[in-house]
Amino acid sequence: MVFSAMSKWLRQFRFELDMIFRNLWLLALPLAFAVMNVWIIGGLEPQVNLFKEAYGFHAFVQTMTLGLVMFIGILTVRRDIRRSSYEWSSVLPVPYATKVSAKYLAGLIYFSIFTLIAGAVFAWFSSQQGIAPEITRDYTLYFIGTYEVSYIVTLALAMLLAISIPNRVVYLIGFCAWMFGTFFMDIFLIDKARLYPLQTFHLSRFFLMTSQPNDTWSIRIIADELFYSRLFVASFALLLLVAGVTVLNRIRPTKHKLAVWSVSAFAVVLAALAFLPYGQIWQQRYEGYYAKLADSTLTSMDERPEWNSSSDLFKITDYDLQVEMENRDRLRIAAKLTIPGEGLEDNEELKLTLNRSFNVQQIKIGASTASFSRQGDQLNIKLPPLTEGLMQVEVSYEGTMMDFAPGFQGQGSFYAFAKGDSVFLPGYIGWYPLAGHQPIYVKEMDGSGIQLGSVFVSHAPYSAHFKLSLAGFERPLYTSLTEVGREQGNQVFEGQVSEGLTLFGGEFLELKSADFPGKAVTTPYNAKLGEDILKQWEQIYDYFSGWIHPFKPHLEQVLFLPNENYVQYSVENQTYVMNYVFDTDYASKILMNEMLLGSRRGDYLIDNMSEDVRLQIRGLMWYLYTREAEGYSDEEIWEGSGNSYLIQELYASNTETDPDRVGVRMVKQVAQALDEGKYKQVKEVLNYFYAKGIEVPHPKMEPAVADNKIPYSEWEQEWKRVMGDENGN
Amino acid sequence: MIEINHLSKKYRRGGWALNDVNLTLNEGMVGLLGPNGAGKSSLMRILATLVPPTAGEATINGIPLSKAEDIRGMIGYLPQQFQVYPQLTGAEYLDYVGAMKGMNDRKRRKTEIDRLLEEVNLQDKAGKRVRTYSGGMKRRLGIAQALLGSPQVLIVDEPTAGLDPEERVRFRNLLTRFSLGRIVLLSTHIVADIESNCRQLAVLDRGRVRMSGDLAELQDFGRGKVWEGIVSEEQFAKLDPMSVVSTRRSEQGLLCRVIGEAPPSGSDGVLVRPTLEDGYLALLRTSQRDGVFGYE
Repeated sequence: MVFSAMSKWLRQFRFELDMIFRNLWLLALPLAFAVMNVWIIGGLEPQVNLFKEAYGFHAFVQTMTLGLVMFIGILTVRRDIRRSSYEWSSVLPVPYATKVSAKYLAGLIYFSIFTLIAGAVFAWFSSQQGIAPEITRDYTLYFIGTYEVSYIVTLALAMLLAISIPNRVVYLIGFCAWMFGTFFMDIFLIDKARLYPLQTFHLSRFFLMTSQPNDTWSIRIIADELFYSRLFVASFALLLLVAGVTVLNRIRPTKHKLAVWSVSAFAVVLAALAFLPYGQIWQQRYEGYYAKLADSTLTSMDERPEWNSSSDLFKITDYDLQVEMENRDRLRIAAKLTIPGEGLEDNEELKLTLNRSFNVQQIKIGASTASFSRQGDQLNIKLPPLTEGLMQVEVSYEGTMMDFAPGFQGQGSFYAFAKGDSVFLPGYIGWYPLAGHQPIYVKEMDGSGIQLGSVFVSHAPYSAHFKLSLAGFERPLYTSLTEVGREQGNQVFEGQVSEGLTLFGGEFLELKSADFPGKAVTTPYNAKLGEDILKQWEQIYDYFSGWIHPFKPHLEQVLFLPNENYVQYSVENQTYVMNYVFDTDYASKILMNEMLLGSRRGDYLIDNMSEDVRLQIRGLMWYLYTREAEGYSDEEIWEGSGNSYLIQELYASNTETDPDRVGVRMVKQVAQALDEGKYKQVKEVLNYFYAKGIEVPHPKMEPAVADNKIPYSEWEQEWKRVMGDENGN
Repeated sequence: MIEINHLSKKYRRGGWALNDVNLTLNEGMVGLLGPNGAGKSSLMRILATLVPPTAGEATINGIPLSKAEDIRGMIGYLPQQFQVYPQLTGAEYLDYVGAMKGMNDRKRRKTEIDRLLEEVNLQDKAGKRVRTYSGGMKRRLGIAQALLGSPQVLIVDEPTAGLDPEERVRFRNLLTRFSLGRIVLLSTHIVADIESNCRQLAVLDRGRVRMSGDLAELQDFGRGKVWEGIVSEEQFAKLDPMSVVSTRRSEQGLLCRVIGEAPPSGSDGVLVRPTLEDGYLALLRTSQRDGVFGYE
């Protein structure tokens, strides 16, 4: 009996395979798909992010193939099921379960060829780029998994449609289902209506409107969601197939009615059970989100002026943070804060801000345990009678951080996370105690949503010394501080922080060069681009370090993490954080500019160029580079060639801030000197001012440096000293 | 033996395809006769376990229709409309059907397929793809698949439709041979299909069994009701068209054969011996005139 049933199944399966693989058109399609894959993926420049580009390609192409899946799925059923001229086949002693499962598996095998091609082509070109085998494996499996799960559910859906609708109109309905299940769902339901949990019903799960297509975290931080989603989708596909068989068995009599309904009930229960873990993930995410929405301590965006007053901000001079990760997602943090007592004598409470994801376990002031209260992100610590001097406050807390952001830049995403080796903890999220009560989150003006309060969080006006110790992380983490120690998974960072401290962790690569003080940190699929940037950066560094003594690098590293949803294009302390690069030449010069000249955030306060020519001197550094290293003539530079974005102050024509056109006068002096071959003298002048300091920081951050003005008269004086009267006129 | 008791089938829209059908069909070739829409196909599809009845029960060799899987193992079925996968050859198709019927021994299967192909005169076309077959060849292939596995019951729905006269004769003879020791249920609306081969028959009209019995019984329905007489063209125009069986022009006028209680008016018609077709038409005329079988 069992042998006979198995034998029939195998024969039916072979028959269905024949139906597909004897069709020359169907045979040609995987071939065309393979050619297209090789052509597009293989044609990519090594500098582009292979994963991102492949994702974009597959998001479209795989969606197209789903149309084929829908068509074949309907066709394979309509070949002989519920067609009056093929009723003879329904009288054969073969259960519908046999026919439907054989048809389904044969179709799936055919479409698995597409999956394998997509995976193999990606894997091949990924390995050709020198990507680590385990990274290639993981991302290839991601593509394979996404392809296959899409085919699994789409084929089942198509077959159910064809079984339920025994009319040719099912082709039109299948087309609509394909459009609805892909583009419509992607653009309208998920992206516009923000119904993110519906992602699992998206037939493709390669989204056109997505934050996933890069290798900066993306699929890593939703690994559990992906797993449970796939589990549910597979169960759902089984339910669709069982439903199809049940429909057929309702039409054609069977003596196994009870068994049919039992299997149907089992499939329903299985799908429901498989949905539970997936649903729980989303339930937890939205629970946190709605808790914020209901939090009365969160203020509305239109109340922003009150936050700016920052009346309760106070100075924290030192942070000593010990961060330990346990069980891949639990952070245990001990933060020791050194706070001057001045100005706090009259306060009964010390107000701090700490992200609500963390549970505070203990707070000590000095050696004594202090009582505290929390509401949302606000932490109020009862102060003992204070005396002048430094107060030591130790806050011990722990928790997990997966801070869901349903509307973050149009994507379902996270404000911050720490899971496995994926870590993104920006300073503005309050993963360490911030002074005063600060708006980590703000409510939208109509109260309908939550936004990140990052632009309103105040790290300034006080910079603080940070010591950060990390333990328990699977991979090295990166920050904008100087790493002073790394040993057996433990890292120690130290430095001055004036703009918040962000922790970055992931499967990043460190790119270094032996004689170059800078380094680049990037993702595997951006390594080639990172290397190019680093190489160009080093070449420019070689030029400047050849004549600037002593060279004082203001920048230690670039974190090139191209995920625009999370990473902001910014300079944080000693680190440049880039979320995109459109030109390596531009990127390397921007980096060198920051490394060489430091901040110019206080430039808007210079209202008279004659009184402060630091910006012009900075421009002259690059003017010299453009002339000497790049070989442009003065005329070409006047006409806009070269690095105009770095020397614009030299040609500024704003008569309000630069009535004397000092920029033009200075560049003319230098141009003439260079034309006369006086490179050495020009460098001597510039070196003099470089040593004196031409950084223009924001006065709130570094008031002493910000006030270090260089008047035009001083430039003239130094120029005359070096060049003599002849060129100093 | 097929026993059908109070079998009814209701359309989804409310009409009755079959209404309280009771029949007992024995071994041999059984004709199921009736006009289009009489319910023949519905009855055959129920017996072939393609659709369940709305009410009533039937057994085939003692097995109730509710045990559909058991029934399917003992029947062969050729639907009214018959299509086959065009990309397969005739032999491949029969091989697939044979395997699906549980003929696991490949050699035996091939032997029987070769024999059947010869029986239906397709041995020369066995290796050709079905898409190259004519309509008649496809129907022959259809009967071959139905006969494959020597089913105890063969259900063929209007099998001669679309066949040329020679093929029809060949077909009938094939079915007759096969019916020895088995039940072959043949539906048709063409009387000639059953006249020479069937021993039993049943006439269905509007979902009900109008009669069941042998050929003579059906023929008897025309006894005393079939007239032949010569009428003028004016008189012919006044005749009830439903009563006219045939017309032939002669030197004296139109020689009409009509069914009725009296000869055609204006003629000196005489009663003639009814044919099977006359009996069938007389039966249908009676049932339609009585109007007892209208849709409920």
